[in-house]
Amino acid sequence: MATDSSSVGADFLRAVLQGAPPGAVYALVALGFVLTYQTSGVFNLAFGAQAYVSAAMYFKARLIWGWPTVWAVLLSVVVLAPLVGLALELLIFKHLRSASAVSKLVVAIGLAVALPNLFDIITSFKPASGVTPVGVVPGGADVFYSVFGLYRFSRNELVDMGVALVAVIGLGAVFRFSPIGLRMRAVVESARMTELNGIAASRVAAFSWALSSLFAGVAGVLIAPRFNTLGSSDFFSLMVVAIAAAAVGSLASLPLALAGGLGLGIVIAELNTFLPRWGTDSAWVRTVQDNLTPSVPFLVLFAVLALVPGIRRAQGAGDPLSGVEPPPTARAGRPDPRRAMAMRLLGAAVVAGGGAVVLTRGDQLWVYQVTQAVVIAIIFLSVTVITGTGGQISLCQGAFAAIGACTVYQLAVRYDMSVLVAMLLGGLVAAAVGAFLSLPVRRLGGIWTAIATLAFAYFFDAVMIKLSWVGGGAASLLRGTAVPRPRLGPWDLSHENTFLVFAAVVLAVVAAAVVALRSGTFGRSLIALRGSEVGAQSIGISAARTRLTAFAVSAFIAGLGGGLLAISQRDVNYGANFTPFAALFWTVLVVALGSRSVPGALIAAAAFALFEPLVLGGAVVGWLTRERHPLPSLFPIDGKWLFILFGLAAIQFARHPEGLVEYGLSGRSRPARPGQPAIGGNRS
Amino acid sequence: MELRGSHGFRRPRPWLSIAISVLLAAALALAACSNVSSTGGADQPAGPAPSNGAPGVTAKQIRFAAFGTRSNNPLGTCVLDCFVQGVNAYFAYRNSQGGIFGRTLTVSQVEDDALLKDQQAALRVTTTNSTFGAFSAAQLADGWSTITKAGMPLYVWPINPASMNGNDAVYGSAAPVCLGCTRRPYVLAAREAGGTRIATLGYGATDNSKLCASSAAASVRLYGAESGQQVVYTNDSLAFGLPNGIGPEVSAMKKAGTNMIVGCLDLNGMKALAQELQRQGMGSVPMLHLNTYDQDFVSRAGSLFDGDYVAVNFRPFEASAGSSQLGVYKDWMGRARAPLTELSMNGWISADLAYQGIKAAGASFTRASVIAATNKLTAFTGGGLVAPIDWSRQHEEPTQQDPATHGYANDCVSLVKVVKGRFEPVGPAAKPFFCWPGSTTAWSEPRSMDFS
Repeated sequence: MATDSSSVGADFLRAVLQGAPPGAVYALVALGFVLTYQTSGVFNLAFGAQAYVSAAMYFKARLIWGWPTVWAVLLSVVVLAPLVGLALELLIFKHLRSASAVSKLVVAIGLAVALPNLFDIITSFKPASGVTPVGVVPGGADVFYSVFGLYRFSRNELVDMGVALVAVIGLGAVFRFSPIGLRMRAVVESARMTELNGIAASRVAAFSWALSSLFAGVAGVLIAPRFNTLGSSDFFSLMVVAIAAAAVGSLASLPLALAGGLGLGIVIAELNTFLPRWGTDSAWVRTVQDNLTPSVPFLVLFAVLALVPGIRRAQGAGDPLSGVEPPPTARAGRPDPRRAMAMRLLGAAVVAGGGAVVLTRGDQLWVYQVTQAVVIAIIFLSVTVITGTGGQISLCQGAFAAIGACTVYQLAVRYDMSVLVAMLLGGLVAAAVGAFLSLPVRRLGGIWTAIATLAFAYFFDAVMIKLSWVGGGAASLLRGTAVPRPRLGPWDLSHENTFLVFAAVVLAVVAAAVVALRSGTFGRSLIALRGSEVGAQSIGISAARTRLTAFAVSAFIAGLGGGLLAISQRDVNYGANFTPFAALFWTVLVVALGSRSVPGALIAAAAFALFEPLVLGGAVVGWLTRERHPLPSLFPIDGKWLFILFGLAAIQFARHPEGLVEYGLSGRSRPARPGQPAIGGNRS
Repeated sequence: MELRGSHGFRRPRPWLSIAISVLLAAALALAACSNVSSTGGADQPAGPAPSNGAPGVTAKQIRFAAFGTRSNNPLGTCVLDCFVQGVNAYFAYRNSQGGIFGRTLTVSQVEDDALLKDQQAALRVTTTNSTFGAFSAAQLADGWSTITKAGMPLYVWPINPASMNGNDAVYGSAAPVCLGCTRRPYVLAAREAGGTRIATLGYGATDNSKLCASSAAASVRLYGAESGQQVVYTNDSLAFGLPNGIGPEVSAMKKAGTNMIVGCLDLNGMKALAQELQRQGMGSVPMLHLNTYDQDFVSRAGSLFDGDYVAVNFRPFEASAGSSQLGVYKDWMGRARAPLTELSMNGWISADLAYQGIKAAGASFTRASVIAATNKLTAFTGGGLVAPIDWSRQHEEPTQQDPATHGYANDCVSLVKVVKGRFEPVGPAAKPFFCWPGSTTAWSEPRSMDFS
């Protein structure tokens, strides 16, 4: 086909071709989302982790052990991937068949955090700079085929695109025409009804997980050669982009997911082709260019959420028999009030005593670490509001906290405003952003709220934080984002102990406010909404308005905590504190330990800041054995265990959404008396 | 959507509450004992008390800490360990000569910041307080001020200008530079490569990459009349890691007739760029790399980078040693069976600065006196390994308008060229630095210099 290779038309066509390979990669992951959702009912945020495990296994077998391609593929894709899927089904998801989609999502988030770290530790796998994974076909990266004389595809890319296409056709045929496809969909609709028809739901579900995990393995091995350094973080970032593609298909349509993935790749390539050209003459186009391309996936996702009615209806999708099947049972007991009071007193005594000891005898390191725990606890209380009380999974609490921190930096450093006033304003700015963000998602609920907030977190990370009026821009590179410590009347907060007391006071105020909120009208409305949206609306509670308020309050608390964290560290330290994945781990920690109660958030914060130095660092063992260097061959234990342990702990969320702390602290139960409410709601 | 469990009543577990209480109590009790228990791994100085009483200084040893990024580095590069290899090699070399003031030099405490916990790693160093000074090679350096507030001298891998700028006790193998200013080495590299139509590329997500790309473009424009070069394409908003590939950008460069590329990308990004250039028939277009001085990485890529130039901030390994310390560095790295790396060279130079500072402070040295003495070193070259740094005035970044007050007296660069997957020096091997007067930004022909 003869084409003038310099015309606009040729450029357009070339961009289409150039966008196809990355688009195929997005499509592969998006197809994985759809496949898992359709066959298991789980929005599997661990898909990227599963893909990474197979890719890293393939890398290890092929390049480190020197295995032939066939054997490496057999091990990583045909053996390991389905085994991972079967293990997930048998050990975890089998027991969550009737759990809500949100509960399953939380479990998947926990797995997304835990799986890559577990694999890395078991296999001693580390990213190796410049050692690019090889493809499954010989000369995959070096042999090219020209298309219309405009662009050349490598063999690897052709395989990616081919597999994506075959997967759509093949999986579509399986779903539509095969008995197993029908059974898989039936199990997702209602496992119990499926079993009543004589079908072994467990076997079908196990097959579903093996199949989707196999596909994750295929995707991982095919995608890996695109990364010059193989690391799990790339797979997670890629997954976030692919969510937009999956959303195009409403998590239901394989062809639309394929189209969404390819479309994303092509749109980005078109923008990268034409915006720089137009931007040469127009400064405003440059600004658009700087910010539009990285935000395309998130804009697409928000557009889908706002404009596709099927998404809004999807929140009601699920087991149609959920109304007739027995609902999850509330614990038919109440804690012994004397025991509960004793535990509260014990907890208060421990905190007060420990605090006094830290203040009087703690060295700089421990004061710092305890201060971090106190400040992080404030941010974690924002999860208590939005997730524990509101029943919404928000994955952008880190972005809200960063907004608070950046506001403090901007107002205090650039405009010489009082740091404490700036901290409050930071909370308000975060609240305004939270309220604005809630507008498109407040009617969605369920997993779509989680997806939208995750997209916002990545949008903030890719676009917002770069702006000079947010993260400081180029000025922050040389001058940093330093934040001063204020003086409060007679108290100089630059003194670490004084600051710790101040932070503890702020935490106490916020905790009291959260308790008050929960027991007030607003909190009860949220709890009612969480229990039954239809029921709550029938008594005049506006779901949209209540959720908007919940988002705003939660964002305010996160922003306040973020501002205080920046003051505490004397710097915003965005990269170390607020990145999307770091904030994802916050949510995992809080829901694992207890998102419904203030103690849950406090202990989650203590775990976040102190678990590593105390337990993994060997301090506890050293203290118990009175050895300064306890078992030096054992300690320090790899910090990845923090992610593994608490990631896996999140698995129990579907069984015990109250979290480990409340579950453990509830003490010996006694039956509820008639007229007394069951446990599970209003706790502080 | 309701958040609730799928299972019903379970027998509570009082042991869990007890365990949590015990853990919390242990945490707080540990803090009480923390003056002892938070030590990071070094013994207290032994032997008779030194006359100066400086922490980390015994009658026989001067102890240093090192902290930085070992684990969780997403780039997969060797950072802290390679840096410490250079420090240890230098200390072994000096110790073989009897050390300094009758004491040997040693790294006694190494702390991994796990990428995101640099401040905690720095606090482990300061609370232990068993070392005289510290070395740091960190990807995200937010703990440096903690070290200097404790009065310790800090010697660093200088990639975090925000943490270095204006801090009189932080020293690197290079002084803080003005990232956004024009620089003549870009033009020189392009000229060496025969490039006249220049493209510059940088990531939008990282400010230093973005500034580098815009600085390179501004430099080519500024010196265009003298060099005959012009900027035909610039893009400083690439997505980090190039997740969407770099096909459209390479097509645009091809269309613009680019015959030289300045790439302000990490080494993985440069590899992706080179692969795309090859795909689009531009494999012969040379590139200037700013972060790719890694022989293993380049060798593994085969001939992919052949013809490219790599900027180096110290005397390249491929240059002749002359009377510089390069030969000594190679010798002692060889004795340690450690590879020659950019990080280890930075560690070696930093260790030399620590040594020179102690030597200048005299036998009764203290932390404060070493910092003061180091800040009087006006022409530190690490034994001819770097262009002279005047630490009395180079703790702050120079500016485009005033390059002289805080800038280098000689604005220098070393270049190597990739030939058959190996680096070769550019210019006279005995005089590997191309330099211009630092007092002005005006163009002049560079002088080949040697700072041995």
